[in-house]
Amino acid sequence: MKNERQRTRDLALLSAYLDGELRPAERQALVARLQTDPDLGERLENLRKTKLTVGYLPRVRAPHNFTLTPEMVTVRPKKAQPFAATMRLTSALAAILLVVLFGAEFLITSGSLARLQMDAEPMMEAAVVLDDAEPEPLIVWGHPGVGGAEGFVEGRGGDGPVTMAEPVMVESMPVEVEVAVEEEIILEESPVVDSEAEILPEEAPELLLEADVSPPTEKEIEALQVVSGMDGEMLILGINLEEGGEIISRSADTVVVEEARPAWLGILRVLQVALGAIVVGGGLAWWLLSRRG
Amino acid sequence: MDESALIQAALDGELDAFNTLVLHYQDLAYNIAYRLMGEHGAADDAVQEAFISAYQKLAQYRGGSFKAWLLRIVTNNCYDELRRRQRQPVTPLKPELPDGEILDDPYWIKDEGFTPEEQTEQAELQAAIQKCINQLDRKFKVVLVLVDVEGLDYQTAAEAAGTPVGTVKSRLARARERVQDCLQGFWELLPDIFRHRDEETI
Repeated sequence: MKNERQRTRDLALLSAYLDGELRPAERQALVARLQTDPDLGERLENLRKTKLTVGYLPRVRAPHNFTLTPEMVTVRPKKAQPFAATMRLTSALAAILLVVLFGAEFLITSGSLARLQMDAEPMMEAAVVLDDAEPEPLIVWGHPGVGGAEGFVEGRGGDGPVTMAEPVMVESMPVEVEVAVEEEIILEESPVVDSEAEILPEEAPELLLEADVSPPTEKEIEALQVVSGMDGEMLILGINLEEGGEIISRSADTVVVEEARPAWLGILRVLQVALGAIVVGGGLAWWLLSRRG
Repeated sequence: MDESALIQAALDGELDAFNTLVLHYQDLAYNIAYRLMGEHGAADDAVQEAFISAYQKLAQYRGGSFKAWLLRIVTNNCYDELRRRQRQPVTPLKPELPDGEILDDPYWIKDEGFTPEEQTEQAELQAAIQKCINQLDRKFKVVLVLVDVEGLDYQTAAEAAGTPVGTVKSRLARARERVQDCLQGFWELLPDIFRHRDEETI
């Protein structure tokens, strides 16, 4: 280590000696060592040859004059820069907005789908009794246990096909049946036990539900298909427990919900396409301008 | 040439005054740039940019050696140009020797009084020396070129390289040693040249 450091220091001294850059004291000390150290003398000779060799390279003259013209030294305003910066900013903002829109759409549509799915289950059963062409009122039977002891349940819908519902066993349950045809509510009491009450509106096809006269027990009620409605209402085969005896009019607009696409979704799509075009176009313009600049 | 007066005139906006300085230093600047970069095109670009930059930064000149101040701009521009060319390598359009060595431009090797064979030998030797310089680290290369090629003293070289004199001294010694090692591979080219130079200079 010490030898290496000494060697490097000697090298620097010999090099500077060749150039006449040593202080007088250093020079005298080195000259004294050179007279007694042949290795040091040989190293000095090699350095001298190297210096001469490098100095052998001819001086290259300038191939032309490098004089300046006023155009060269005039600071030219970079016109492309502001435009490029604008393009970059626009592209970045559009990209951010695009991401926000996609995120919002995802959140909204996923929420809507969940709601539609929840709606679809009870509606699917009800939809069986609904005519495709003309939505019919949803018939809601009376609350179990409401009315007399020997009531029966019978409902009649509009033009829809006969429901696939099983006959409901009701013990001694007088039922008030409410049937609505085109917003007209017909209420009819049928206290007769063990008979089928037919309520046939003029324009409504027949819809019969066979039912036992006895009212259902709680256990039986639970056995019925209980589904939770959108608003948390309890529906049993279309029977709303809290709105027993009423008829919920299923107007066309409520049924069509499954089919309709919101208008804002179309606008959103157009916006997304436009923003995508801005992102790509702006980015491309910025890239081209920055390469040129 | 009154250098100070020309600088002052250039500061006052007289481009002709600055161009007088350009004409005075352009060969020196070009030679250093060429030796640092080893290529005419690159040296040309670096020197032109350096003079433009020097004119625009002339107000920052605080006295002292104008030559050292100018050469510092030149060397800095050479480094920038080298970095740029390393990112985008350029293939030189120069003839190559059979062993792959690139010959310099014809006007570079043109030397009256030599036979074609001697000219070829000279060209080979010069290419070998340039190759050894090119292999040096940047910090060693600049002091070697400034002192051994251009013949500047240590003080001016230190100002031009932007390093202390002591650093120049040590770097130059190590640069010479490395070039010496590199030239061992071309020693067959050297004896005649050495004899010729030794007789003339020593």
